[in-house]
Amino acid sequence: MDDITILVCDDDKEIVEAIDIYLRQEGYNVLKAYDGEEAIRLLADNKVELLLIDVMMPKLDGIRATLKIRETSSIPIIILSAKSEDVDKILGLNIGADDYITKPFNPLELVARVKSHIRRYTKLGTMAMENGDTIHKTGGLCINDDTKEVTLEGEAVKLTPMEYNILRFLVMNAGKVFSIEQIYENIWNEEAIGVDNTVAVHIRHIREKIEINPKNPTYLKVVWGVGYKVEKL
Amino acid sequence: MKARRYTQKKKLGALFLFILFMCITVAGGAGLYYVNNFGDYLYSKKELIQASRFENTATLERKILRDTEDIFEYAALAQFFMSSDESNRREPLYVAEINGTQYYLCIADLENIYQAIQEITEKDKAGKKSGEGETEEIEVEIEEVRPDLNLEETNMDFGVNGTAVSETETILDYINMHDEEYAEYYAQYAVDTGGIGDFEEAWEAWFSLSDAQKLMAVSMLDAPGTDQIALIFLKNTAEISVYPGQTCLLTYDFLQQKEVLYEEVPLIDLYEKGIGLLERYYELVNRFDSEKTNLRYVIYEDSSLLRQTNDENNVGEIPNFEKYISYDNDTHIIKSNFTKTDLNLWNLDYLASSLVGVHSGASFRIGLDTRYLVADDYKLMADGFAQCRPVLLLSLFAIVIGMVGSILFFIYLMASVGHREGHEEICLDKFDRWPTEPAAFLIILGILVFVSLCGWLAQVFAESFFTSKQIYTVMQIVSVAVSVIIGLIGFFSMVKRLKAGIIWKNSLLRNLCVAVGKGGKALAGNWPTSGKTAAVIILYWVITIPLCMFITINRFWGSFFLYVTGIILFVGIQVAAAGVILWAVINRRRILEGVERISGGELEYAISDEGMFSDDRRLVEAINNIGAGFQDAVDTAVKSERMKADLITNVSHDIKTPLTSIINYVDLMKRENIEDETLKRYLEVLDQKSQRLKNLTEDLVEASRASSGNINLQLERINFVELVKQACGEFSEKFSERGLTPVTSFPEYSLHVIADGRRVWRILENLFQNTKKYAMPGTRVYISVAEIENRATFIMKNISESELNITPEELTERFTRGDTSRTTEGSGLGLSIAKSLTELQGGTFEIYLNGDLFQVTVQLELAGEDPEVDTSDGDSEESFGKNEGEDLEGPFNSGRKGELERATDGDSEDISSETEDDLEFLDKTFSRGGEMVGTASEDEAEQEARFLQEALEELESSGLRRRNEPDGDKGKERQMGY
Repeated sequence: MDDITILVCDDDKEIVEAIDIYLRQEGYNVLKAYDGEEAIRLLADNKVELLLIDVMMPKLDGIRATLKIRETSSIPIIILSAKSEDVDKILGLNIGADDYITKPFNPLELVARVKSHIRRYTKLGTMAMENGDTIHKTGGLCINDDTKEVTLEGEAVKLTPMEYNILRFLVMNAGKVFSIEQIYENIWNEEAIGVDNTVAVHIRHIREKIEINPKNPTYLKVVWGVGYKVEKL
Repeated sequence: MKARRYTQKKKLGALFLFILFMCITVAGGAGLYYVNNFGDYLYSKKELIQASRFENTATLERKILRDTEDIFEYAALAQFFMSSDESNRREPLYVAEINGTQYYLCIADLENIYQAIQEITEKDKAGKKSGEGETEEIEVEIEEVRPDLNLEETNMDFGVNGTAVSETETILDYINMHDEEYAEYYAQYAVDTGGIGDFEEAWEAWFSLSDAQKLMAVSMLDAPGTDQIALIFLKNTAEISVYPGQTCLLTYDFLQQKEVLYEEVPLIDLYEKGIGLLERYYELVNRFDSEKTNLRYVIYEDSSLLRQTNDENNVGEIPNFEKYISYDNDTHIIKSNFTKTDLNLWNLDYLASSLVGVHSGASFRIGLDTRYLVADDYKLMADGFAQCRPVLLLSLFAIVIGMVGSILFFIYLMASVGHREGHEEICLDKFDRWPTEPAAFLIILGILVFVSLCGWLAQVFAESFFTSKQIYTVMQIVSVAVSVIIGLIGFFSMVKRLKAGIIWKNSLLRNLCVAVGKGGKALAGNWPTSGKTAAVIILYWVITIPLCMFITINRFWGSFFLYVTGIILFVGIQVAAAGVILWAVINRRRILEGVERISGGELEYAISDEGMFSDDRRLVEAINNIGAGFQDAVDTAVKSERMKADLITNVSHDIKTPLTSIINYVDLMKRENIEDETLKRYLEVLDQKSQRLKNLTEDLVEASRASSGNINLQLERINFVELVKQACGEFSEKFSERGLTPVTSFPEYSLHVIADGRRVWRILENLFQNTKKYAMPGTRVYISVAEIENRATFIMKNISESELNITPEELTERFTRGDTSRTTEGSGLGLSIAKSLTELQGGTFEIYLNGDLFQVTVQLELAGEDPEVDTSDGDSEESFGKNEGEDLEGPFNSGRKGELERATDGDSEDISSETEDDLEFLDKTFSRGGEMVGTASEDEAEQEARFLQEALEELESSGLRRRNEPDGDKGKERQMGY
């Protein structure tokens, strides 16, 4: 982890400074840039594992910079922006960013996301490909049926048996949406009559355990008014 | 105040009393009618009135006097009709007494005369066959007279005297035939005058005869076989000459006691007169018989000789009667107890002296036996008077009272009609609001129809089963009653109108006047246009009317060519006129359609003024201007609303950047090991407030977007029940932290709504959040979902911790919170956002406060049945995935889905080849700086381009601004303390 370098690019020097402090505390090397052009220049000169970039910047803004960088590089790019509209997020993700964090952000979340992306970027190739029937995975989430263990980006997550069953069911059917009743019927093997919010509460607990930001989940998503699903990654 | 006096009760009472008094009047009238009928029999009208004044004495006395006259007539007739010769008693018509011998002209004689006349006439008819008119007339007269003779009833003796007329021969011939002496004389006379054979001469000769000769001639009447009446001498030198043929000569009518010199009287009249006298005689016989009358009378000839009486035994009692008159011819003294009549006026002397056969005058006594033993006129009169008097008095009284009463109450009704309790103004019913003339006409028509209907019904009934008199009486009463009712209704309606002042206002005549006036005004007010139109119409007439005349003239009298030309011209003009009218109508239609479209919201629509002239063209221009004006206004409003939202968004972006630093540095400070408790506390405050500011800015953007409707909704079919359950799950722990117990109630089935799931979640999240924050700890929260009136309804109730002393409206207003004193992490925008979002999705959001009870109701329209989406169906799981994908992609074309997903996956190996096109395209877009991409020709590309364009434009605008004023921004930041 010692030689991992992160480029932080924002025209607000104080924010760059703050992020620098947080990341250094986690043991990352930090490069600082204050506009898009500088970021591209630094990227060209240095080996960088992850880029944190603001959108609204002088000279070259974050979107254009990302587009340019994506022409040559495939490092994880996290956009940091005060623009919180859906449109902005969709645009940012579509032009090649890997994540989109809105300002003002929670520093811990930022760090967690950075860690997650670094892990995925650096360990992707070395991930043990022990793909048996007993292992179900999606993205960084991995469920081992034999050991009844759940790992997230390689780190073990503690789940209750019921939570484990629900998550396992959803991961096995990743991408599909299940209503509360369907989940209940599949896990409890009972007919769902008058089921209230037991499933919803369990799901919430699972989310709190496996998600960096439970309100903006990556894996276990809420489809409002329809049900729940695990994203197929 | 005035109206209050006329209560419904009073009015009904007045109506009842009015009818009652009317009835009394009518009853009085009926009584009068009865009395009048009765009185007609007895009295004249004047007498009736006198009777009403208790003055029947005079009437009684006058009647006695009139009867006295009749008694004298009776006595005179008795003189003639009662023969003194008992053996040969005949009923004489005319009596002559010459030298103690009486000669009679009897009814029987007259009978024979008529027979003779008839025979003669028939003979004449057979012989001459001419002069039919006159003979027929006689026959008819005889025919008519004969049945009325009733000779048997009169008990007459039909002793035939052989007076008949056979033929028209000279009287002298007959004389000659029957008496030699007379014949001799006549012969001598004839010799003297130089010839006989002429009637006139004979007549003159008759006059030259002496009385003795005449007597001799008359005596022949008594001779059997005589068939000729020559002359009759009557007492007092009365003469009747009866000629052979049809006329007699009456020179003196002793009955009338006047000379009628040589008046020619048709024989038939004489006959009738005789019959009349005889009838009169018998009538009087009947009337003054003692058994038939209460009158007692006695007549003396020459004051001592009893001439006639109807009560020989009690003659002396007459002066004791209550009413009597006595007259003594010797002394000429009238004795009487009459009180109301001046007897001198009645000329009793003359009456007494005129009696036939009494030379020096008669004495008489007449009295009324007021015991009324006999049922005669007097008794009837007395009884009738006794009967009528009370009826009459009562009737008069009733009429007076009834009239006065009904008039009074009628006036009261007139005053009160239309007033109603509690109403100041006149109350009108439906009928009163009818135009005046039709209403009046209807009333009159109603009466007429009803009266004639009654008449017709009476006729029908009379023909069937009632006696006609009964039914006519009944129908008369019914028709009068109903007519009065209808009439009253109509009258009171008119009175009401008059009071309300609408009798003229509502009349057709006035409306006509007003309409004409308005038309005139309109014509004058729009003068140039109306004048032009009128001129065109007149021009049309001026052309067509003479043209029609021209055609007509040429059709009959002119040339055929001109006729055909005229017709063609006429048809042409008509077609042109029709075209102009049609064109005007079409233009009008076009304008109307345009106006409707513009008023329907299509503001940019412009009506084409092609083919329109003058006013129409101006109208179209004006309307188009209005449309354009509205469009501008709407555009401006939309723009300003959007600008407002954008402003808030931009401001919030600008706030967020410094806020990020604040939050981060506060966090960093917290990580330093600060020993000082005071500093720690300060830091805590900073942390809280910065978090709150963060929430506030986020909510502010959302609130402005939601309230301006500037939000892209991803509408899809979602299960509302599922969503609420999910929300409950999300909040279950937060509720338990606060000690709140949710009590839920969900339907057994799912309620599907078409909505944006995330927005609905946002609504519920805000509501749950609210409850979590403000509900009283340890209480229950009631959450229910139900289908109410075909809407999915979410209801949440809780008890507020603090007082809710504000209105529901204030609660949903921005920056207003239930608890104004307490500082929490809330922005005060939660309910406002929830409400806006609900309304954006076509739902309703209601807050109900009752004491500390806070109840919120969210209703969304239920979606129709969609069999494709069914959560229990395993096959449909695919569709959910798809939905989710679309949800995330938003407006992206689904065809590009795969590519884009791969492009955004961050898959470093394949990115270049697959996203090359996209990148190239985006580059182009950037380089053009927001211009439209003209090169993209395919639909797919175009759609994608549009979205990216929008997104980039937005990006560009904020980015450019940043780029253009970097120094200013930085300067500011530095100033702010960095």
